[in-house]
Amino acid sequence: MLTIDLNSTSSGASLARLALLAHLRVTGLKAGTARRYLEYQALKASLDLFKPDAFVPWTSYLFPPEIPAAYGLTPLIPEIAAATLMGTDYRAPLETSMNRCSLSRDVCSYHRSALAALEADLLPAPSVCLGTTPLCLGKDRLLDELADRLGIAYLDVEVPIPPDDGPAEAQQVAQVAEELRLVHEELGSLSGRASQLSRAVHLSNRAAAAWKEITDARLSGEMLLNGRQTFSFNFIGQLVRGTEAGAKGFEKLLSTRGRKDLLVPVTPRFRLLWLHTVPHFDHGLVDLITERGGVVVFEEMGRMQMDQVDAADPFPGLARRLLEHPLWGTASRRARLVVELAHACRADGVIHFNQWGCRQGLGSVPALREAFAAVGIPFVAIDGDALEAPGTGAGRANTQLESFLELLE
Amino acid sequence: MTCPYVSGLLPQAERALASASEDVLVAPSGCDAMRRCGDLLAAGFPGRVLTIRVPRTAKARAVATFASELRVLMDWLDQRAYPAPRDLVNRATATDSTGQDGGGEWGTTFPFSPYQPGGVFLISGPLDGKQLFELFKELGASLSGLDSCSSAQREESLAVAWPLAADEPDLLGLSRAVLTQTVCPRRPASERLAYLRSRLLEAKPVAVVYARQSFCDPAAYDALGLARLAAELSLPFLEVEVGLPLEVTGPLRTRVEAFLETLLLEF
Repeated sequence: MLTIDLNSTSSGASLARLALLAHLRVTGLKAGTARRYLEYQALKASLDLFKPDAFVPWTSYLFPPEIPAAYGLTPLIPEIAAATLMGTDYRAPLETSMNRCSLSRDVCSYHRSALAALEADLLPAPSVCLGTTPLCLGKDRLLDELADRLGIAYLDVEVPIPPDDGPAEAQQVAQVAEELRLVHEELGSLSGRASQLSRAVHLSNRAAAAWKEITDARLSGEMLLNGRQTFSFNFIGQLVRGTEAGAKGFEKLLSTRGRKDLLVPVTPRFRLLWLHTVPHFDHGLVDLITERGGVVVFEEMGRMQMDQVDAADPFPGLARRLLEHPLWGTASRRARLVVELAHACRADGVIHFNQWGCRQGLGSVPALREAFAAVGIPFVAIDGDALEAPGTGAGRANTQLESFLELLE
Repeated sequence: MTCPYVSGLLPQAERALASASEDVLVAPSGCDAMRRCGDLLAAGFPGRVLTIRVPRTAKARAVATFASELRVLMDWLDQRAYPAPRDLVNRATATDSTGQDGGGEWGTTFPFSPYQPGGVFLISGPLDGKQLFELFKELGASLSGLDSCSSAQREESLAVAWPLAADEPDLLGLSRAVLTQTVCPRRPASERLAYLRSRLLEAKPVAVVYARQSFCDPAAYDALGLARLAAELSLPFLEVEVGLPLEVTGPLRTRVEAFLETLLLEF
């Protein structure tokens, strides 16, 4: 196996970056789908982060992507970067680095592998770290550790817990909006670039409008998309939100051709709602669902960033979106929202993926279990590691899922 | 996959709330596991559990946010005819007569008195007994200092910073005191490491042992930073994973023993 140091300034590294892009571009053009287009655009933008002197913002998953986009910056989101590397020939050196990494093995595998990737020079070092309190403390600690280690700034946005019912309080929105404004300003000083925030918000709004239309169609039953693949689409989409490419990528979903590789061609025997993250490489669980005639019709993580934000005064809208994110807040709030979602997508059953080391996800499982039991919707929580290699997650997880699917049948 | 402190706390809290219907519980959530623990208790005992989120930083906004949380806490307790939080602070800051770390409800009577330079500096999560101290003692090592979640030293500074006699509590002041003076592993790495650096320089140990509680994110990242700091100060560093209750099992004992032997310390 040949791996090339993408961080290098050598001509070999440049060629490797070009070759990777060329391959994806050809695939994307052939397919003509939103998914392939977005993958190409996200990789293209991300590979620029490996260039010498690139300004690299390591950014938490829920940090408003419009803010880096306003400065023409592509966020390096540790979870996405780790998952992407694990799907390439770089998995082996990354796993070697993970074995050497002195960070405890019981923390979230996304964060541990991102740190190991940085230590092995498989990812570019951050120029700044950007974070928000949601969703978890782990990523906060990772970004903080990196900032301290490298002597760079960590700009984090303190987000209070929203009420269990109803919208976030006006005072909370104002507080978070002010923090976002300050972080936006500071990012401008650090990067030395001029902001085009209104433009970034406008472009993100185009993506949001398309995503909402697709989501509404999925929830009404008019459109059946593969929830597993749609998760990946939205996951990768975070990298280009607030850009022209991002807007186009999401809008491509609106055509039948653009979403043909996400469409489910059969009528499912049972409909499933998937909660939390997914196993990115070990397809055993999803294959089992497919074998039994089931389909993941919706994914919890897909229900985000659908509202329009006022491009002339974006901070309150961005703040509200953060505060009211479906996975933020108490476990009771999350339970209420996912029960509503399960009803909306007419789910016959619900699967929660217990990502290794995710305290906030695992900690809300008892509340979810109780909430689904109260409304009579079958629920199962399956332990796993989103980054595990194909085949390694078999065993207990498959047995758990098999029993659950038998129950549904 | 959850920290043993929370795993142990949750059923105990449930039992306590179930057995005394007039009791209430306040869950300060500084990490995801505690936050979810508070959520679950609040869902199970409506109206009797209040979760307050403790920010990590002491930025002005975080101080203001936490002061608001404290106001909510006071009002909530008042409605239930419970004593104001300052009484709780009084109790939490109680130290033993020697003024040493330990004592209180944890029962971790400190067996080394006083601290001695040239020994081990121990950093740990909550300690529920003195097994670890006894292990060091048995292996002939002295202790130069301790920084632990159950260390009374942390709250002591809080009691000084917050005037307990005030009729109208200065919640902003209390908030600032909590967020600036309790430099625990949750705090920003730069502040935490600066604090530990001064502790280490003051204590003059010859080695550092981090007894990291399993499944604790703040401790996991704290240990990473401390390993860097120890290397910078040329102090040998050992990180061991421990549970709660802490049991000095064979592997833990062997690792500590080997570490101390390697050091060839002259205790």
